[in-house]
Amino acid sequence: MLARRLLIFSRQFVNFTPVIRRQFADSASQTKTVKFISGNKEFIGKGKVGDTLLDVVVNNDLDLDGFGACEGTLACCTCHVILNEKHFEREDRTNPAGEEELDLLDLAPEVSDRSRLGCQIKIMEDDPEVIEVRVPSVTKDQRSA
Amino acid sequence: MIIRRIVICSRPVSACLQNARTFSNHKIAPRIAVVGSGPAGMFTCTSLLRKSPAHIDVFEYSPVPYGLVRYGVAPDHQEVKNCINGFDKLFVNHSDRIKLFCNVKVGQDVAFDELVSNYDAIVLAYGSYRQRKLQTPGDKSTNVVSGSDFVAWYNGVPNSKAPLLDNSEAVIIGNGNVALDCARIISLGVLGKLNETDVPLERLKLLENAAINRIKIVGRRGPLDVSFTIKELREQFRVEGWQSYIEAAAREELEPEKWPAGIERKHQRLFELLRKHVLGSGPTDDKQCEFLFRRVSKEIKADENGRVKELIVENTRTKQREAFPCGLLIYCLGYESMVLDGVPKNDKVTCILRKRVNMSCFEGTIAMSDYWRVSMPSACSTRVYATGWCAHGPQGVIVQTQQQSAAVAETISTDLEQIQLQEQKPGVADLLKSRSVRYISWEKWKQIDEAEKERGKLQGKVREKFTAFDQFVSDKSPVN
Ligand SMILES: Cc1cc2nc3c(=O)[nH]c(=O)nc-3n(C[C@H](O)[C@H](O)[C@H](O)COP(=O)(O)OP(=O)(O)OC[C@H]3O[C@@H](n4cnc5c(N)ncnc54)[C@H](O)[C@@H]3O)c2cc1C
Ligand code: FES
Repeated sequence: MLARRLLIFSRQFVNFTPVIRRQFADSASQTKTVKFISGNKEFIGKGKVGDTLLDVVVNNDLDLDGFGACEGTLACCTCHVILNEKHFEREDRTNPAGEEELDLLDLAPEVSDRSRLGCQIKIMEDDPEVIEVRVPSVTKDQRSA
Repeated sequence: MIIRRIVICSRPVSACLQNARTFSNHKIAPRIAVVGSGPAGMFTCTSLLRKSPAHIDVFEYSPVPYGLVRYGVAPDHQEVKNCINGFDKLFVNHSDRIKLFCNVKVGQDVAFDELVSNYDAIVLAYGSYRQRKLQTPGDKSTNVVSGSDFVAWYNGVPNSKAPLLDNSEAVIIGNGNVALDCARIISLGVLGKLNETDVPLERLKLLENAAINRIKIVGRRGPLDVSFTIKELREQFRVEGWQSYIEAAAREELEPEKWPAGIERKHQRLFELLRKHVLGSGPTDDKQCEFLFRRVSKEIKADENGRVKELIVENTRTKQREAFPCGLLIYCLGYESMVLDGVPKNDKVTCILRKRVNMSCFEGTIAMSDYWRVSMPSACSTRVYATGWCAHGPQGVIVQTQQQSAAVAETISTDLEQIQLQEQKPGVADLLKSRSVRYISWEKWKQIDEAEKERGKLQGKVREKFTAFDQFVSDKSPVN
């Protein structure tokens, strides 16, 4: 947590260019690619085994503004992601959602059976080189209230 | 609070007619005004700063920024307030493109029309702070307070009136999260468990010395109709030293066979939690918080000094009248939408017309042409958008507001890309100065913020909020 805070802090002083790499397989085996799919857009970042999906969004300065509003303290669910079936099962076996996470997911818009909070999902060694997750967003066909 | 200097009457959106544009070829960065610095305003800014080259001026009525994150979210939910770190960072990373003007009320210090003349786009994100009234005979009795007033008080809003906490019984009307927040803050406060939070010291003392040991949370409808979120409900059940329970009379209604068929997981989990806490045997703790349902408020009775002493309800299960003695009555019936002077509003006629074409419409809300855009007169070249509680109603938590705001920012940046601006809009900073409006800038907010944290540290608290800001906006201090 502290490390993440420091990272966020140090980011302020680094001139960051968003890392959007199309080259998926990385030579360093510990580094994996995470593809966040939101609506018809894709945001791609790199992370190390042990990083959370929230770390990947923050460290790569991905254009998913507002993702991780509570900074990974299990207080907001803005980091809601939907995993694919295999990924969900893998996580559910080794790192199932606890009560707190489930309570927050109950608030998440467009929640699904494969929903998790991105700040609780770490990149694991078992994960494929390219991890794909979906980030729900407000659908454009909503009509004015 | 701080005395407002000028009152500006709002004209119709005539300002629109003065700024019809001709298009030219060179790009000028658009200037955007954001009204309100709560999550809606700030998440919109976050995305706009990334997606467009715009210059943004944020106007905030309160002397300090961030809306309900500071003045709504409960003091024992400090992590929820972490989003403030991200908001503050915007002003550091984009200091040349975003400016904050706190202590400026749109509609009073500067008119909506003046924003229309001086900006290319306006984002309305002013929330909805008006609480729905109780409207029960006797509601003017002393110590009958709205949930929003009670929340404002414990959160340190300047000039909020202290409730009287010297009676052992309190009743809270309402079955939403604000009712839960009020109950939990009383429960924790009397046990001295909020001492490290940002509740101002003098208000903390009042809570700690409170005599309250019975809280009744009273709902009009049944236990399956509650608007509580499970996290907040669980927190009440978990307050140690308090026995919090659902009245035994609700047991039958909470049986799984009474649940509607095919309900979502979130409802199942919530109903299960309620069911688990139906009172079984007798009371165990001397401090109790009871949830009662199907009670319609009929009358508030006052003592000879005019202070509330009893709430009379009708129990719609038994059709009997019941009296709940109380020395404090808090009603949490939700917030009302309101429309700023000069902003197009849905009236009866617009609603009839819209409903004819199958569009939803609520009287007394901002007139929108779609999910993001305010319907402005066609001659108006200034684009006006609305997001958050002022646009979509006072409901939901920060995540909904965040998603709406990301979407509105996307729409704004696409809209603005398609027009070429002819001239740089001036903004209203000079206008505010000429009117001697003593606004508080982001730099000054940081001084306040640092000072509050420093004062907090001395007391072992995360922050000791100022509850008066005159020293920061006095005539002697520089304007910003
Ligand atoms: C008591 C309470 C507790 C809550 N707790 C939580 C929680 O724990 N977790 C969670 O996720 N959500 C919580 N919420 C919900 C959350 O606060 C809202 O989702 C969110 O604040 C709405 O954002 P907003 O920007 O639309 O409104 P606001 O936060 O109200 O911001 C609007 C801002 O506009 C300003 N303004 C108003 N009029 C003018 C004017 N004329 N000129 C200039 N400025 C103006 C206001 O001062 C305010 O700062 C809570 C809400 C309440 C009421
Ligand atoms: S970042 Fe807030 S819950 Fe994950």
